[in-house]
Amino acid sequence: KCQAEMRFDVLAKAGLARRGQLFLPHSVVETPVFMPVGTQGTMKGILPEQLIDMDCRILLCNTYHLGHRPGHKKVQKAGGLHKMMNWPRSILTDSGGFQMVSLSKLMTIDETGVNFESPHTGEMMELPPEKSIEIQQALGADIMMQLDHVIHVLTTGDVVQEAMHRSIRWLDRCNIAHTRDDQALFPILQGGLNLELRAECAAEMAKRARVGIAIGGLSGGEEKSQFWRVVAACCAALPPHLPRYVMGVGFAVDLVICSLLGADMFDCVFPTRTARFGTALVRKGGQLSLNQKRFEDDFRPIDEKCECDTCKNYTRAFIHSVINKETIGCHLITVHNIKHQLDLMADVRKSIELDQVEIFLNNFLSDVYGPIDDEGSKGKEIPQWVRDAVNHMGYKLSC
Amino acid sequence: MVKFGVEKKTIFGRLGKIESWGPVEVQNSTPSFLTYLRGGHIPHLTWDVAGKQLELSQKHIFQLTLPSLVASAETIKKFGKGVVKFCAIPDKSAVHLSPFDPLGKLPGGYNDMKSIAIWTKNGKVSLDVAKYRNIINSFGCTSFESLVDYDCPKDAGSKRLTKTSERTRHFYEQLFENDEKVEGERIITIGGGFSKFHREKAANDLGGFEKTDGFNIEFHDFWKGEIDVNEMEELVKSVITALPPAKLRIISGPFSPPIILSLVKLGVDLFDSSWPVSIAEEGKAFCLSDDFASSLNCSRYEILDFNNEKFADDFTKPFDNCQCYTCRNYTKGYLQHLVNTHELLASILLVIHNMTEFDRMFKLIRNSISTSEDL
Ligand SMILES: [Zn+2]
Ligand SMILES: [Zn+2]
Repeated sequence: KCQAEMRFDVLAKAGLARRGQLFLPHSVVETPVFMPVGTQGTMKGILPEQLIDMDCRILLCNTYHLGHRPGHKKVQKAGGLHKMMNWPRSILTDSGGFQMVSLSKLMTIDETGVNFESPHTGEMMELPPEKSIEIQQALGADIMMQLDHVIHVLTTGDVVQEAMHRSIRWLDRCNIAHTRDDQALFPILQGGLNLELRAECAAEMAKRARVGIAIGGLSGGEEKSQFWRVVAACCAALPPHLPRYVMGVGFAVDLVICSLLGADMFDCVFPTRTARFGTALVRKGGQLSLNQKRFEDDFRPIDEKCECDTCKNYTRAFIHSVINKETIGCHLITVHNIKHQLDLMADVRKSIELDQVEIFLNNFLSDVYGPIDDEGSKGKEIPQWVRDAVNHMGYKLSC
Repeated sequence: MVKFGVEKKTIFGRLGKIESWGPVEVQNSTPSFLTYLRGGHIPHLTWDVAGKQLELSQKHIFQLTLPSLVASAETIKKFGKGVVKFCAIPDKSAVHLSPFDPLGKLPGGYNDMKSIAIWTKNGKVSLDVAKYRNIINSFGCTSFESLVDYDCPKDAGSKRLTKTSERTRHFYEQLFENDEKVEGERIITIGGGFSKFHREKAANDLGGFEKTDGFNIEFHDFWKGEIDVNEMEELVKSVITALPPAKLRIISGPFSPPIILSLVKLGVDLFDSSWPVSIAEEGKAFCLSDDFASSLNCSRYEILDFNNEKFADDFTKPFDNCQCYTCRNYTKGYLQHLVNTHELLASILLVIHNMTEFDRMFKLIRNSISTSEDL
């Protein structure tokens, strides 16, 4: 499929939320979608076939890591990322900039690009927007991300505006450098927590976006009350034909609220990373640390409602017994956690399709925050920011 | 019972058939191997992956090693549905319980009159007969090995050797005393360390027991380090000549292809797949030479070590003629990348290839025996 054939169809709407299909060269992605992260060109201990069994359509790989090991030239020699990792469906690569900023000790940004000290070799390296696109074109993902000027989300003052404008200029440079027809390039909205800047950025970047667009600069420690307002403002400011990708979002409540505000795509390392520490995601109460002694003789599946291979065949007690001893302990939780996220998004899509968002939202929130009978837990308060966002969307909560 | 018959004897070794393992029909030809399990799994493979991506030529007879599960013995008892269900091992499988892990450690000096020591990731566990019997019954495996005092170092004097063989015999008798219920087929373990005399004596002593269809020759002293093959062969010979010839002979341990070939020659029927797993865990894959087992001294094999950077730029198939999942779908360069970045997928893919090649090795061995002249 070439650029012209990549498109986003909105199949149904409910309030601000959309249920859509994104047509990419390697798969049709059902949105709203959660994209699991396979940082180094592999999904931690999971075979591509297992992801396909779960009907995962798209995953994310990190340009920064792959550019370093095995190196983008080698990936190109291997026939591209899809072929190298035996993944026939869609892939999104980030620009590499974010990781440079977060993993590198010495980092400066000027008009040319990002300058950083390689944590591996110690030398100073340059990453101009053109280079980021060159690397991503060698990797060959279905979706590439522009290099943007990342600033900390809590930064204030003129810097925010400068970074936003610079990101627009860099987008133009990325667009010029982008020559492969079978890859989409997503701009990344900046503007920090300033809603006016966000709106200005959205207007400029939407003009330049062809397939989809991302909302960047969030999930960096800002207040949730600000987070959801920025997402809502960006979604409202963007034209409907572009799928909206909120970067770095992976907690269940965030996924649900952002989807209902009109966002379409998400990614986060959280479900896979937390699995490696023995934590399983569940509908009731959010998560279980399976290494706790209380699971030693617990013969229930991780989540009774889950139909993943792990929950169909294994007990919490078994997983508890192998955690930190055998790698399969980690594999089993990873399989469950990814399936859990994909199922959650399938439920969100269904509620939009059936126009039953309010019922879904109430059930979902009472699962996450409500009392858990068999554990004697009384439950938690629904956070104010969730109530505010729900109010904004015009739904009523029964609890 | 384990229904086993010897079909042919040649200078290459003997060909046999296991029709059933307890109530499980298997129809496996020997020489062959028990599928090594740790934590109730082929290491690194969930049962979903093993079932879908690992294709071997014969049915699995699993070797369930105890050290990784012994800490959960009480839990498994409470669970009440057996170890097979607890570990999600495929239903109706033949599962053989072994108290030892051929890839684990087994230092000397910790056995006593009443118990033997096995070693878990959290340290020593003493296993006495009552505890072992409890485990056998609550695990509900198809078969199990009798306990053995394995602690017979090279410098052990004859007094010590006599004591260990007495203990081993005592462990065996105690297991069944007072008509205790002990579920599953019994495989008798023969110890004796480095003494030909005591190996032979143990075989004579225990070989006469009825109600067993197979013998496990305990050889943990040869699991690690440089192996003196001649010494090992001499010891195996002394045991095997004393054992009833119609019964199954098992040797467990991470033995490389040439050692397996030489043990097959002496009449050993079953091994285990700990060796292909152990090299996978080191980031290595192996491949047999084209003429492997075509004659008695053709035992060459090649090892690709994916820690080596020379594979980083090589995006060709790992092994041209291998049809395993790994070789069909991935390249040397990608495997090098996975090993280099310590990704969990590396061990998964290497275990799948190495197990497939290990399985093919036994097919080649059986072919050579079947085309050799009878003795
Ligand atoms: Zn599950
Ligand atoms: Zn192979």
